[in-house]
Amino acid sequence: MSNEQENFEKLRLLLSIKRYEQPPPGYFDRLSRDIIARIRAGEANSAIPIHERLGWDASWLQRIWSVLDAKPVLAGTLGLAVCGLALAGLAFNIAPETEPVSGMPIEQVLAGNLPPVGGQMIPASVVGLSVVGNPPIFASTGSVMSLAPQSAMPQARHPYAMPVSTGFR
Amino acid sequence: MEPESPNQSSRSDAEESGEDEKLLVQRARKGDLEAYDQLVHKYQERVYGTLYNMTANHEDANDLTQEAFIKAFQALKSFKGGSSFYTWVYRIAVNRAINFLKQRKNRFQMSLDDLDFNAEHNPDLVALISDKTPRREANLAELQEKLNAAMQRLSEPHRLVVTLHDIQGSSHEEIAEIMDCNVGTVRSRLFYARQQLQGYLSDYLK
Repeated sequence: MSNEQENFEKLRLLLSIKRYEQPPPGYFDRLSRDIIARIRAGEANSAIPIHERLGWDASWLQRIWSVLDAKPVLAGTLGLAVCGLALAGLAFNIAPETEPVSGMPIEQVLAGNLPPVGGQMIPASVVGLSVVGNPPIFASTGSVMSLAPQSAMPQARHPYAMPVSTGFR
Repeated sequence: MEPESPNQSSRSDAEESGEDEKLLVQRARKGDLEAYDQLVHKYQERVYGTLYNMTANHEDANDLTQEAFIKAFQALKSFKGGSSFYTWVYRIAVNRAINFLKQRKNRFQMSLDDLDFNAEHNPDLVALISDKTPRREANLAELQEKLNAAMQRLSEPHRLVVTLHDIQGSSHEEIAEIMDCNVGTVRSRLFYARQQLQGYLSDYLK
């Protein structure tokens, strides 16, 4: 243990060399000057408006900026309005393009009733469709609805018929 | 009137200096750069010394010292005064140094400061290179390089403890505050770091 301690003493003596390492003469005078100069430059830079720093020549932007800067309530209201518009745009964008047929239950559509017009149901017979046995109307896609009887349809798959998907694109 | 005892005198000096520092910090918080300049002057050598010993590179230490003081000035408003300004600015400097060293790992190059002329006249150091060292040809510059290389092989926390305690002369308590750990951790890190260094420098310690 004492040998270890003695060795640590030697090590500490060796480490004392590092206390003699000195930066170039006058370095510390320059260091504090540089630090203060950089702080001043940083403050001056932050005092310059962002559009000037970016080199934009936009006096109208400057006027808007100064108005908003002077009226924080107006700036806040404007900010909220922009956020609202953005949210509304987003909501419209992600809403499904095709909606279900006026919210009618599919059973009614299959039974031959068409979506209500002016609050009244239109029986299939009114538009010249005969309802015999199985419902003659079938949905091909969400947006395309064939009114032709099934027997009149070609046996091959309708070129526009696609599987109905309920997911978002 | 009786003259003040040395203890009383030094305590009142320390208190006065603490008060002065508080005033300087308050002025600097209000944007007084002259006051901040005085704070920089007071601590720049110690902060630079620590960063230099951590990086073994003058240019890196210079950049880090400047950044630490600039960052400290920008963050002065968040300085609550719970610790001394010195400990606070040290903590900023040390954290920046540790982050920097993690990024620098693969591009390390030593750029050492010159040894002061007085080193050659230190009898202990002269004895170390002439009598106690088996490699008689070793000179101070070589020892300096080997020592710095050995320091760089330590992990950052161990290097920091050795730097602050054995080179800068900080107390265990101060180091614990700067490193945000307890005194026991500081002691154990110091012991381990010294053991490591001893192994790396065994040729020069026989």
